[in-house]
Amino acid sequence: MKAVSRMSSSPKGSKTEISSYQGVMVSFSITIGTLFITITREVGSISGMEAYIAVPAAYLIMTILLVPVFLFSSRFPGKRIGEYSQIILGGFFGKLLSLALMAVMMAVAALVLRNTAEFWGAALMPETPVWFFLVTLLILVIYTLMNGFEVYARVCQVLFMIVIGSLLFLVIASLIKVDLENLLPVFYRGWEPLLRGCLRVAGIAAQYAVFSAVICGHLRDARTIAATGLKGWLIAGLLLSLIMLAVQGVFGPQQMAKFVSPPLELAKIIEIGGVARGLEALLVSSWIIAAFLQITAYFYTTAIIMTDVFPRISFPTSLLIVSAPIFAGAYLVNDQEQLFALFPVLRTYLILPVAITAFGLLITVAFLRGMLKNGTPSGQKEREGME
Amino acid sequence: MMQKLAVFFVILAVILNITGCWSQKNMSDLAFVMGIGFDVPPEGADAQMHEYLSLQIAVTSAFVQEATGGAGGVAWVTSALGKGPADAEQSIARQIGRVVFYGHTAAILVSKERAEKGLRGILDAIERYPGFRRSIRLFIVDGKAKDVLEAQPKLDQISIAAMLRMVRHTGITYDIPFGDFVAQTESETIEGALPIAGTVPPGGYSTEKKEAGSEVGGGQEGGGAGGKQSGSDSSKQSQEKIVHMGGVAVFREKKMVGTLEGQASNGFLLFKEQFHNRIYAFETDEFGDMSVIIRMLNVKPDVNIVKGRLQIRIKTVFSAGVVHVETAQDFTDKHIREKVTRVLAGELADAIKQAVTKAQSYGSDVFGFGGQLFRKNPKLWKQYRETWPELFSNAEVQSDASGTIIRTGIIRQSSS
Amino acid sequence: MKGKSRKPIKLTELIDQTMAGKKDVNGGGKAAKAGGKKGTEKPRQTPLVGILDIDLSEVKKRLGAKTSDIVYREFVAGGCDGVPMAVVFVDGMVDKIAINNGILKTLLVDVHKIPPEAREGKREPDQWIKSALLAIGEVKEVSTVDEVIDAVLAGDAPILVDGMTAAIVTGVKGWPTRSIAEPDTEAIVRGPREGFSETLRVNTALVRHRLKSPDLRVDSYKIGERTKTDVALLYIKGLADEKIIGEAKSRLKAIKVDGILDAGYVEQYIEDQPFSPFPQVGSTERPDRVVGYLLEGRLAIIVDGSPFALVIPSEMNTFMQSPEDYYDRPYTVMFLRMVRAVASIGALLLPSFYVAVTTFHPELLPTPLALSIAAGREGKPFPPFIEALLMEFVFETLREAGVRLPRPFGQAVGIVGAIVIGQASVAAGLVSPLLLIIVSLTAIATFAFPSFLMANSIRLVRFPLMLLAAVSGLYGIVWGLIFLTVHLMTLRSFGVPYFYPWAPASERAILSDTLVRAPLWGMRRRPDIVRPQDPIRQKKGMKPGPRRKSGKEANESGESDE
Repeated sequence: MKAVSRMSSSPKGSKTEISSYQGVMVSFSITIGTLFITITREVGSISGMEAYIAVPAAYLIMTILLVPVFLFSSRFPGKRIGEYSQIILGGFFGKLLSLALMAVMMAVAALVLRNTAEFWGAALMPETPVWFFLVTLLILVIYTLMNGFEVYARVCQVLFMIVIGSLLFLVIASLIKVDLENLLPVFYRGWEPLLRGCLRVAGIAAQYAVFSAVICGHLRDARTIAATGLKGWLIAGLLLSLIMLAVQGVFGPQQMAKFVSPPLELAKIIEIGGVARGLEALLVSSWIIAAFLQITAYFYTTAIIMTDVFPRISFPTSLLIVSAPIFAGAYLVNDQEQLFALFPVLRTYLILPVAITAFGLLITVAFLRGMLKNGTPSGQKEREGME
Repeated sequence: MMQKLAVFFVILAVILNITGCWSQKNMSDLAFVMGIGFDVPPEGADAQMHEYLSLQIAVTSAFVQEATGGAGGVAWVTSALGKGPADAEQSIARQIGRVVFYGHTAAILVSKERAEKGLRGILDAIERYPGFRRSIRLFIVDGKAKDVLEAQPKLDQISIAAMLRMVRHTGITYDIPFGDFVAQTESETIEGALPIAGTVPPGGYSTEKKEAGSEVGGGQEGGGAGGKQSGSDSSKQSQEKIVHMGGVAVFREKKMVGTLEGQASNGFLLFKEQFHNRIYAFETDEFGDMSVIIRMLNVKPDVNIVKGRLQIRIKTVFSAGVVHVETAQDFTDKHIREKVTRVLAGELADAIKQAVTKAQSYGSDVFGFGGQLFRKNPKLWKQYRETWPELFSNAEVQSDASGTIIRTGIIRQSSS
Repeated sequence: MKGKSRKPIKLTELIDQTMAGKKDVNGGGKAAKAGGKKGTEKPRQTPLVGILDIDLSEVKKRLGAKTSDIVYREFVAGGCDGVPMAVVFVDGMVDKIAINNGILKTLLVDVHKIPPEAREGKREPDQWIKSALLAIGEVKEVSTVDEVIDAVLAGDAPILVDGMTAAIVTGVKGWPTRSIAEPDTEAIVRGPREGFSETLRVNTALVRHRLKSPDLRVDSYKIGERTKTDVALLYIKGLADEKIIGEAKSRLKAIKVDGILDAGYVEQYIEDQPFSPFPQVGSTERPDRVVGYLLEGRLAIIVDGSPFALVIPSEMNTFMQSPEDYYDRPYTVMFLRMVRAVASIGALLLPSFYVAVTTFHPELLPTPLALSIAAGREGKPFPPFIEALLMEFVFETLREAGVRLPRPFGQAVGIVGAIVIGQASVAAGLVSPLLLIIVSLTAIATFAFPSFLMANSIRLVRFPLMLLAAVSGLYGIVWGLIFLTVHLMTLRSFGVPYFYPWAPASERAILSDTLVRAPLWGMRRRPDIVRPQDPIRQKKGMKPGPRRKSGKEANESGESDE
């Protein structure tokens, strides 16, 4: 005989509130993912010697991109971009904007998924076909999201320690092998390499902006939204900068550019007391966790935007609808070249412009319509009408 | 509805997992390769065959704990010819009946002849394969790589283990991880160098091996031609061989162009600051033969281009402890110490200079002076990088050293 | 809430009443202690008539006049012209001395000691039986035959009185019960050694004895249509969250089954997620532990017939704690908890790790170890996964067998079995020696769990993890761990998230009572996840140390120097 009432009812995907501490964890987790692999590879090969400066600099500069996000989330607490875009621009244009964002996120999600699966295959089990990783990941993601966002936030809280721990361990254990000659001199080629590297990071910032625009919908307290999002972003940035530093310091720009996944190579170098070799398998296992957290975020973001655009679809259905093309996209990218070429292109030349346009548009219209006033969130009537 | 979906997914997960275990390896199906050797194909081999690959495979049944860990028969070396490394490996796979597994490969040996032909193919093959780690060691072999693989050290079960220990723990020879070596060969600012290994009979050196310029006591020496000959002589006499190390191989790009032996190899190790905790022996006029143990080394090179000519200045600071002295000396006396220090400084500076000079004769900047210039003045480097090898060969070298004697042992002086 | 005694009614009226299906609201709980249970509706109660013969024969009809262990003692109280009465009880369930001395003696003999003047104006039996004569501590009145029968079967002795339409139920329960002994499943080194026994009243007394607060409430319910098992819900009013209390009560009341034989039955009917391998209701045999939990604001459920008390809400942390953790000093506790944490991870992951590494990632091992493992696997017929599965099953079988064998055999079989079978299988070339070590370590690690419920869960979960490891190596293990983590995050026990205080995170709680335990004088607040109404446990300044007052003043004020 079942228990009469479940005290744990939390409607899936709806506005469960998360604490700001959880918010930081979530923001951090969605940024790290396998970013430390792609960033070291891309920025490393583009910026060469200045790579380890490009990453932290870009991270700090690109915080600008996040300002509109936090602005909106504070003005419309508890609302996601899918919702407040409709408030600001009106139903049709708002939905259009959301759709555009959703589409680009899905494209990137497919690539990230594929990239991650390839990485694990190469690192752990080369003979295993890629679809195995894709399907098993998908199952995990769906299982997590079916139980609601709160569960995801809690999982982030618990698991992010492992992720941070393993990355810090990587950095610290490889510090001995860092050769200063690999880090100096800098800027002898001018500013161009640095700036191009920064552009890459900009793409990542744009992506994070979209994530935050959705996830901040779960934070009610307007005052802490900015702090939460920024903290997550900056902690991730710090960690990524450290990893970039370690990778470049150990390998040097030239060697670094030829690796498929530089942090993996770094992990292979670690030898502690001559005994602990082969630690890369353990580290990769913890990176699986990081990747899983990020991919879940992608799925959540895209699915929830879809529910904002088409309110009649329930979240689980939306999730399934969204999973199909992402999975298909991930599976069909069959080319290493496509993978390496498309990735940076999409992020920098697709998401960044779309995000800038979107937020620019939102800011302009909101300003003109006087919705950016201080104090109580404006558009209260519309909000209530929609709820 | 949710429950059913959840159940469905779980079942799906289980089914998926059961359908295939593609990456499974059964440990007893594996051939654990401990070391790999590359040689030039023997006389009379097919012209197409460019590689002669040898694999040292651990005979795992001999590693069972209960068995008396003897020094015999624990590793088996097998070889095959091939058009390239992978091809040769394929051939070997046909004769061992197990899956070749490189996860525990610790060293790769390349014979001198093979290295002179260029290492590009080998390095690429090793780098690409994810199973190798960048911390494995590469050795150049004076003689045949296969011989070194087959050598039976008396204190270890596999020759590779002995070699690695020599490299890592006792500082006998140049220690450079594979990854760093590749970085060096691909870099414009420095050339690669590798340690040299060879084989000797287990009884030790034969007297034939000593030749001019070799040291008394002190570091082990692989001679040039002399050593090789005696090695092969003794191999005719008895099949037992053990591994010994000495000397440094010098590369330009990925081809071996020469060796640094004797004083030159010591000088190289001094420059790379890898000589510490090693004994250096030298002769003095006043005190007779002496040996010291180098404790600390600090080498500061400086490069300048003056009137189109490269000027290299090397300043070495050291500290050493006294190990043995032929005559009775009291090293608490400051004057004696100063004298010894001066002589020693001269010796060390000279060794380094010899190393640089020898490398200059090969036109190979294994010391990284190019890197020094680059870091000091990138614009200048840009100007000269094309002609660097020539510039280096014609460079003017000045080497100085200074240091202190510390810790002269537990006696002050012998009584007579 | 006492049943009123009515005048004897005519038979015809009686019949009318029964046909009309009149229901009575019955009297409440026992005197003094509990908040009563609410009246539950009973269908078609047969009221007492007031005529002894009719009532008694009705009772006999229902219980069986020839039932050998039910005694129907008819007597006439107060001498030959007194009132006919009958007392009914179950032989073996009552305290015979109380019946003899308290009921029979007083009504038969002592009644004569009452001077006739005192009896003046008090002819009605109800006026003088209960209030003047009956020397029993607990009495209540009931007015239907059904209640009389319930009382008989519960171990009380109802007295049917001719001329009274109510029967007087005397509380004379006294059946053999196991004496207080050290709990087998929760032995500790330092601390009390009392454990619950099977009688509800004894158990609640043990708790009361340790928690003398007047706010302790013991609400009792009868659950089980046929067994009518007494179940008591304990909590500290004003401390435990009202919502949780309400939820617990509603869940208990919703249980409508045939019988409740053990606390485990109740647990399975009230838990949040029956399909999860993890327990959501804590269980303990120790009264001191129950009191500890009650003081934190939790609730306890004690079931008659079971020495195990249930504790709700229970999260992961409570399953990993032993009561000794609070009796020892912080450093010891920290060390022990670390050991337990490592043991739990080992118990869960060790076999899977072995399978994964030997099947997929031999490069992970240090070379000499890899070679000796490979050597050990030479000629072994089974792949590592099958080996591991085999040995684990053998061990689980041995454990089960050890539980059921009588004690002298049990230990011998356990030790000998394990060693002999293990060694023999290695010697016969069936399994590799390293596996034996791993299986033994895993088994020992599962014994390190303070809660056997959690230990069982871990034993269970180990197997799917092994399967995952066998199929996809480390990736499979990590996948399984993520899956497990997500599952744990979705679990709640009565509204309390299972993985508190790790998620939702509360740094204070993590520092004060998980892997490390703050000193007792530092744990000023109760765990706030159970939302106690009074969160402050103790005041500041409890840290021991020399007081600032001078010794003389301290002595004068009656404090002891510390």
